[in-house]
Amino acid sequence: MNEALTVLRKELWEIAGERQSRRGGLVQALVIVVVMGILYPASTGHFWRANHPIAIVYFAFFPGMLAVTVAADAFAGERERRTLETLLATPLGEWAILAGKAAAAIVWALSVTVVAFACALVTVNVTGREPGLYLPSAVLVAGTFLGALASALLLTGIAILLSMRVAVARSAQQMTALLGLVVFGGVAAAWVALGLPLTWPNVLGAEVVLCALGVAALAGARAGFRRDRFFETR
Amino acid sequence: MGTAAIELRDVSKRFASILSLDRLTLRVEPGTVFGYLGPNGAGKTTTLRVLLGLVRPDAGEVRVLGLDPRSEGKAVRAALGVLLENDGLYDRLTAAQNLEFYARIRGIDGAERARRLEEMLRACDLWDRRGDRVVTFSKGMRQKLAVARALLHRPRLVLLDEPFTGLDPVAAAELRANIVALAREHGITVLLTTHDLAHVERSCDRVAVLRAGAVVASGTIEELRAGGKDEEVGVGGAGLTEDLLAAMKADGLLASYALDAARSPPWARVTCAHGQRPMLGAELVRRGVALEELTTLRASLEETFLALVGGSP
Repeated sequence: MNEALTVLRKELWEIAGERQSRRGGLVQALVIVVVMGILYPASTGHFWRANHPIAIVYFAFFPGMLAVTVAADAFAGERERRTLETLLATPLGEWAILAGKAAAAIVWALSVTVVAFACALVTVNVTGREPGLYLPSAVLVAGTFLGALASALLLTGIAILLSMRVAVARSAQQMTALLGLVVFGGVAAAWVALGLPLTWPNVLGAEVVLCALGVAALAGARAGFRRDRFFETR
Repeated sequence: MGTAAIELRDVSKRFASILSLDRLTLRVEPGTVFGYLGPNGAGKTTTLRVLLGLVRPDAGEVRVLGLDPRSEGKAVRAALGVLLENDGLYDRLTAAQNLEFYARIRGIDGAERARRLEEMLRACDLWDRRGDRVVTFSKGMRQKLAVARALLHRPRLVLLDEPFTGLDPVAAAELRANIVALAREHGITVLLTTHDLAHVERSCDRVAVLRAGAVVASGTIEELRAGGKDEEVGVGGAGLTEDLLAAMKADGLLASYALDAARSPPWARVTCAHGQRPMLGAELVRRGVALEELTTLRASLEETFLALVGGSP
């Protein structure tokens, strides 16, 4: 556990260390906070007040995309920056390395989600015409963060799996984003095809299924993680 | 003989069609500074990866501090300090964060971690830059920080792959002195790969030369220079003639000679026949040479290295 926390801390330092890069993670996070926390809730305030699941649809997608940028970098990025071999030459266990890197992606995505959600509540209150303070229901809060966790888990698992196998982080990022669109598009298509009503039980159920898929993807990544696989070519 | 710090016996490793290690056999005694030399592609990096448990050999036995990197990789990696071909530093992290990350991995906690970090950062003259991101460092500063990282947990065995790369002569000499001190004062074993033979000459107790995945020579630097051949000697003095040298060769005293009669006095490079070196001076005088010079000619390590790996100067 300590080892995974050590890796997590390092990954978060690296994210913070990108602050001087214009294309860094913080810029991307800022864009997502503006979209999820201001623009979208400003135009869908009535769904929030009506406690409708459509209010949180972006929260079940964008956090995953945010996690991808960190997770895709997990191995391919370290390889590109020539830090991977030194990392693998330490006594850190394979699981600790993987868990620390996955946790960093998920923690990062959920942290931005918290900020975006807080902004969304302010936006709904400021832009709404209805009198009185708007406070979200417990199910809306649960649906928001379970959705964010589900998308972050799933896309992190896929991104790490790909990151172990491709040469550059950007490839892993693009491939995961594409796969993410396929997965979420598939879920939406299946939803329509099955004629499922957009109710909280159905939304929460789908989020649990996506979480399970994310855990499976991470387990697959762990199964495929062996130090010597990174050095199979000379 | 006790447990070797490193022992490889008949280790082979093939990558697709390339045989990277070819029945490699190597023994490094504890407390020595061991130079591991070879041209690019000779298998040095693969050897280090095998020692670290990052590459599984196809055949042969590997022991690092008595442990098998294949089955006890974690324990091996815990006992080792490494500086690999790339410094492996995180550009976005500060110097202090880089060391702290590796200190935490090594289980150095609390006050001891803070004390050790300060000690290492001061030792590599980076204490004042500890809060700066590594991306802003020069190559030499990076290299010093990477060496500090390798020594942070006081390992029993240190693997240094090209540690002098990018260092200015003063910094390189300091590092070389530190490496020698590690072995002499703390009993740490150092396996050093470098292309800079001057550093090898000044720091290594023993060396091994690798070519095409196999050790072609090993021993002390003097042993390598001699290369199992008889010593070459420079002799000079009046009376040194072609006839005299030919007669000495015919008498079985010399194995070969090359006379420079144009010099004054005449001078010759001679190779004594086996066991005849101690008698050479007396024999020349007995045959009427007014001997002015009798010098053992030492091949440079570079000449020896090039001869061993099949290169040309």
